[in-house]
Amino acid sequence: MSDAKRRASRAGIGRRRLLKSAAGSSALISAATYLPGLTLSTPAWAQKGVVKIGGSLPLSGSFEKVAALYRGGYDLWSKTVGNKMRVGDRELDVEWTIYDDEFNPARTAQLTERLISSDKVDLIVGTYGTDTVLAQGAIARRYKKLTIQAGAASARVDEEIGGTTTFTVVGAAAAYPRLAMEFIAKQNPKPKTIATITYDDAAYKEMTVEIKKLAAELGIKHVLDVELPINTQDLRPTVLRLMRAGAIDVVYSTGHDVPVIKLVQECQALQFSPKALFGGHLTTTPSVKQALKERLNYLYGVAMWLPQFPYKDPYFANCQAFANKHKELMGFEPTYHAAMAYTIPLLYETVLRDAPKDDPFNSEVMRKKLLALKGEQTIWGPVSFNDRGRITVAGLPVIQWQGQDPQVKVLYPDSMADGSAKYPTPAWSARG
Amino acid sequence: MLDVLIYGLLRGATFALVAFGFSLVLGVLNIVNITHGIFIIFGGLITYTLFSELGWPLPLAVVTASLATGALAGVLQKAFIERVHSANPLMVLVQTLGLAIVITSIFEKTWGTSERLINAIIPGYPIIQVGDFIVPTLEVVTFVIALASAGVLYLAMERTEFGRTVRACRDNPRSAALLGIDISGVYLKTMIVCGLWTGLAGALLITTQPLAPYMHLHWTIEAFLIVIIGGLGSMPGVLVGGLLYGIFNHLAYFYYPAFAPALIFSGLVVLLLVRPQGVFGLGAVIRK
Repeated sequence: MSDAKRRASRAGIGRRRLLKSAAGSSALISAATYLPGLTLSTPAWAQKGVVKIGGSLPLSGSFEKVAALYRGGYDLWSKTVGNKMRVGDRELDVEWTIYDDEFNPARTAQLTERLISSDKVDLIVGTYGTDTVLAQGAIARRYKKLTIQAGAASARVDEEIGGTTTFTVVGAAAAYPRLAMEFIAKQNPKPKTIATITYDDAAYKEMTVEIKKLAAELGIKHVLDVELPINTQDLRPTVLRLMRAGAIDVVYSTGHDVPVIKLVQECQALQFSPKALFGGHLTTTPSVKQALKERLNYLYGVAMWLPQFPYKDPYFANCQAFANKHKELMGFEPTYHAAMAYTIPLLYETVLRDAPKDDPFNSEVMRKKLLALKGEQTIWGPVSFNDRGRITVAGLPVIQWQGQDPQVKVLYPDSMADGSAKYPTPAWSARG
Repeated sequence: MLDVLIYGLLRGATFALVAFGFSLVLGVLNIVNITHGIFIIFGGLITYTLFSELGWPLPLAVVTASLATGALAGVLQKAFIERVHSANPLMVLVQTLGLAIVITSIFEKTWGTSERLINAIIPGYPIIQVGDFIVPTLEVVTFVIALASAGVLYLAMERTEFGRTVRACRDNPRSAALLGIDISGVYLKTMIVCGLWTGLAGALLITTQPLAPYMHLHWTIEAFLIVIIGGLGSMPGVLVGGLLYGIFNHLAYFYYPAFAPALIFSGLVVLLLVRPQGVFGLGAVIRK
């Protein structure tokens, strides 16, 4: 008796049954060989029970810090949901692929192509930066793949790719300074003049355009705009220009966190102290406080997200709970980037819960569901999209850093305020 | 305009300090050392740790950071660069690029990716004010240190036995070896001197500019630019290059900020057309 027969006999399998199962197996192998489309075209979610989420971020270079914050947000979502996503009536494992796009649009386009064609991702999460998001969105649109992005506030995204296959959970750049302008116009004494520092990026330019428009409406004279290349290293010439431009009551600096550090450093060095200095929307980035420490006192800003904001989602009762979980898992307090990035897979999860069985990741179906969201509760805030796929936001709350060990106080709108403004800002020599 | 010039001059002295070591290594070892920016960051972050976190007095922190950077440069030279340099100097470019990437990762694990800045003042005399013109006293002290260290380096190169051996190796290493000069020893000392001066630059720089590990390449490029402006092989040239770069930088960012980088590089292109060897460059003498 051959070994095979002995094994079959021990297992209680007769000769006829062995032959039958061998024939069945060879039929299956033949079918797989001659009809490759049957298996190869079957997506990963159906084959392995896996939903593939992919994207790219500038994981190296000047924006690697920010990229790490976004990555942290994705990871936090994964850990919160046990790395599983309900898609229709199935619960699938989640598999992430995040490439380093080096903040390079051409590279981003290449990587997006790879994600769709080779990696066969089901869902795409956006990268960071206007040009990179546009590059990513253009490729995704070509393949009719839906993308939710949180890395570009510029209106160019809405104009070029918004609403068809790209959805944006970051508010329009023009909305950022609206509440700040309302707030500043209500101060006593009311500021008469404002100057802006604009970094060479579409989003920052849109903010400045809005500030100029609102200043005119609110009776504040816009006296100077200093436009700077985005990687400007030395802000001293800029502060000198502000000082030489006559009496400036308010300075509003657009731009990211490093320019804020440099600006405050130079304002102190030259003892320049306007009635209000606005550091834009990134003054709450931890590196700003770490670098400036007590010099942060009196600095104004606008905040996209803070743990004290009154939002919730299916997993967290409030933003503070989210912040605690983030700190527990990541070891540091979350910034708005983490909250925003966390919300992207959460939104996919929301629209896929009752996805059609046969084609759950159909872009058109998902698009309609995203557009149908009306004030969906998330820890990022209530989510509704306009027809260009942009989240609708009235403006960003105004904050001020206060104290020798500076803490953030929300000043405006009144409904969210937990402190009052220290206005006007005293001279550097009087700050203690 | 006078204030722009003065502030540019003050900043320029620190720029020169950043570039002395780069020029020395480029002139003597004939290599473009991509880890140069690493030395600046290391000097700055060591100073930050000692001063801001451990509470050391600033002068002691600065000196220690400079010595530590000299030691780091020596270790890199002995453990890595020397071996590849003897085989193929051109490969050092690739090697130092790789080293810079690896060391950046180590720095990020040690200090994190955030920018660090020291808030230091001269007690009792935080600023000097003449009419409208205000300058932090520490920046004036930094300016004086930069000039003094340039003078010390110049004298060391021109008037000491060490300087003579360095110049001999720079001008003709084969002849220097035939005369019994220990070439690899001179290269090691040159790299250590580069580390000492560059570490000092980083230590002073972090009092006015935020520094973070990812910024190393930016400072390597700045050092390269200053050496090109001043002229290869000349310490006074590097000093003048740094001062000119500081002034031109401030003028460009004050009057035409949006186009400043284009203006600065246009100026560099014109300078190289008129004077390819830089302002004080030795030209053919050192182009072996």
